[in-house]
Amino acid sequence: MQWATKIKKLLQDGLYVNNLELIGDAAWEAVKSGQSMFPAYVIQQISRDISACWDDGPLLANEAKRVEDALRPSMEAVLDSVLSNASQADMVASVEALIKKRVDTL
Amino acid sequence: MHVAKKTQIPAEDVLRRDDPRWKRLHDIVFEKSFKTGNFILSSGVSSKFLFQLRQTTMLAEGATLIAEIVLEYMQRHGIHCIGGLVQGAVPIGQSVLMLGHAKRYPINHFFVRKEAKKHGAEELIDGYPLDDSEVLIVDDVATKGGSIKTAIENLLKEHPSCVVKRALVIVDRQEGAAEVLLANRNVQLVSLFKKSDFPIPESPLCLG
Repeated sequence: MQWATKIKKLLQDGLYVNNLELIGDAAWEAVKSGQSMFPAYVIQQISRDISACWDDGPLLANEAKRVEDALRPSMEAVLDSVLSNASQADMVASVEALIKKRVDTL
Repeated sequence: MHVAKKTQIPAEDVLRRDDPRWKRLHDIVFEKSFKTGNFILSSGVSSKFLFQLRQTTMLAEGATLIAEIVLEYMQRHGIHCIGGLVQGAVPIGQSVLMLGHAKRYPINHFFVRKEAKKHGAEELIDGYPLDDSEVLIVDDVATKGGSIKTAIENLLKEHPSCVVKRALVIVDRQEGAAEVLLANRNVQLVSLFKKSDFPIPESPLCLG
């Protein structure tokens, strides 16, 4: 669960390229070590996806805010479900909600 | 014990301001790459301006001028290898590589990945770093020096005999990169332009 605590702390700093890379790294380490692989993998993929998009050109502040407002609460909800040992059904629901938010931000 | 004094190489070492190419390249950077607005940089810092240098390094005239200037710099210092972090360094190194070949000044070129690919050979470096020789690390813009530091560290992981003394950027945003690289890696950062060469909007949000 240490990975989830670490990412929650990183999220407090906001979403920007360097921080998203750190979040992706922390999630990938969790995936590799077999901890909560499903939510960790989804967070890793979403973090990398956004950082790759943002790293490739100018990032307007309002675009960063739009994505952060949409995704950060859902990422935190997934991490909370990991940290609280939520049921499998609740975990899946929180991860699916995050994926849906990501799709909506595209 | 003698301790070498750490000093920054003067900008004129790259290109004198009275050289007509300085003015022409400045005009191109200003017209094509200098943007104002509300931006978030990779470091999370808010900025009222941005240098989108690929609009210059991938423009024929911009690439040609940069290649001439950087090649002359490398010749003055006897450097035969150039590279840097994807993606900013790639068009710069490629232009210099081709001009070096045309002028019969042999150059090796490589690029550095931020992280090794998770599949395949898992290499950090692609291209041809020159072992046991000085390497010029390049990038299009320097802010806090993070990209250049990553490029150096990843290069040395796979090619520890490469020697990195200098890094060259098109624009130095003057936000600490030169100081960080000198203090942490004893690498001297030189630039063709500095932030102060451009009309930066005044704003409390402008942290540059």
